[in-house]
Amino acid sequence: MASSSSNLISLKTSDGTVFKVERALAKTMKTVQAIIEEADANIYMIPIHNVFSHHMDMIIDYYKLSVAGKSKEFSVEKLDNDELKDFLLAVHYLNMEDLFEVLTQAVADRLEKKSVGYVRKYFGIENDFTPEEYAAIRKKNDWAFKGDDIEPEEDEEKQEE
Amino acid sequence: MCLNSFLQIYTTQDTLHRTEQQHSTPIPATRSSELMGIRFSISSSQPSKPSLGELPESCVAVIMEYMDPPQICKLASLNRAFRAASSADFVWESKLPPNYHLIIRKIFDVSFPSHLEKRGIYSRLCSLNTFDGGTKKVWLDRSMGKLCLSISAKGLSITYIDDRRYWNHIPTEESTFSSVAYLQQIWWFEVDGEVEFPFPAGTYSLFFRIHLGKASKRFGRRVCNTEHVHGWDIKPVRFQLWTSDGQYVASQCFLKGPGKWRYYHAGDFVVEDGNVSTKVKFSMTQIDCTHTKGGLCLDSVFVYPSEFRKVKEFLN
Repeated sequence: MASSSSNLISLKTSDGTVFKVERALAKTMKTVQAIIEEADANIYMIPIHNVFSHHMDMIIDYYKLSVAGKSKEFSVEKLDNDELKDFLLAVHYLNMEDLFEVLTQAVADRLEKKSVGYVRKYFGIENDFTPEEYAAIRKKNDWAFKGDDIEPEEDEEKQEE
Repeated sequence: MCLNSFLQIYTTQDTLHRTEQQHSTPIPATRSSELMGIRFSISSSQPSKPSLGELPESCVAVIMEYMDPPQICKLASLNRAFRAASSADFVWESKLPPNYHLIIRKIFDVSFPSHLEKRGIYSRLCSLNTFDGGTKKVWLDRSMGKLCLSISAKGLSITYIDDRRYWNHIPTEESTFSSVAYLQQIWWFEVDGEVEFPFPAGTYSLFFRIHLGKASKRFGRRVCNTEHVHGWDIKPVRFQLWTSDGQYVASQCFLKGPGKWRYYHAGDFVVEDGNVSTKVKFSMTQIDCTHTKGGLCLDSVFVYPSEFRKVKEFLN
């Protein structure tokens, strides 16, 4: 089992910045924690792919707020959709449970009442269904749209890009 | 495959995300061939922007847990990962009323399939489920999963219903039931009813759906005969509501506006505990025998969650 003599862990983001973080914060990142536990020797620097320094800034902000019992004050409102998307992926990569929950809720809020076409563009999701599969899934979920006040979407652009 | 690109293989992601279910998501056709279980991205000189289309379905399912059922079903048509995520049991378990086992036991006999996935259960409960010999229907509202209930005229105790000088059951297309009770004229107007049901905890509003005048179709067009409508403007009708745990509400109002189905509010009741059945009794009366009244169609009694938008509309 590797052990570091200091209480700080060095994390190097994709854009080359090194952050020295407390062990307790590193523990909230299950990915990093696993690297530490699996290393045979002392680790001096852990690279974290797809995590940029601005993500680390927000992660540290969230950590400080939650240690102070104020995690509800953490907000991602100022992030645009792409930035939120990237941040979610970074946190997902690092496997940070609480923050991941916060971000998935934020994404769900932004998608609330949006059309399928909007979500497809926002997420950059390619339609990988065959035409038959697509028709089948639309039909299968038809029940969710019956009744008052709910209208299904006008059929989206089903094209393959 | 783009030869100017280089591969970044997220092997660290593979070995470290053991607690997460690995999922191969199909890579779009313009990129290189798929390798099972490994996600990779191709970029020219910089790392490419990761797409949320590459999230494993377990993550999509977590996002979907925060959505309402129509949205979940809509997004199931985005791609295969979304379709798979949209059927996750834990997503739908959170949408079902907490006491759904009791509801199933009350309205279905042994015919309810025991190993239905949670989405299937939700979907079944959203259709108009008939019980109590066809006199009652119960369903979940699709978008919020809240329970609604209706009781047909045949499921109510209408005083003198068997006397055809006063009351008749007439077929109709304007009800979820096949007939409504039509009142020609009477002195003693009294309609009572009761229902015992495992309502999920919450507040509910009870309504009588009533039409002054007799509607029919002539040459495909709706025609309304109001010549027998009388007496409702002389004295108001009285509504009362009781529950088995001691709640009581009484009110009165005039029936008006012939030619349209209207919902008259009899009262609200609160259910604290969804784990026991709540018994509700209600009545609508106009028993002043100095005047007759008539020309009224009684369709059914509805129970809706009080927070429904349509409830607010009915109350205005």
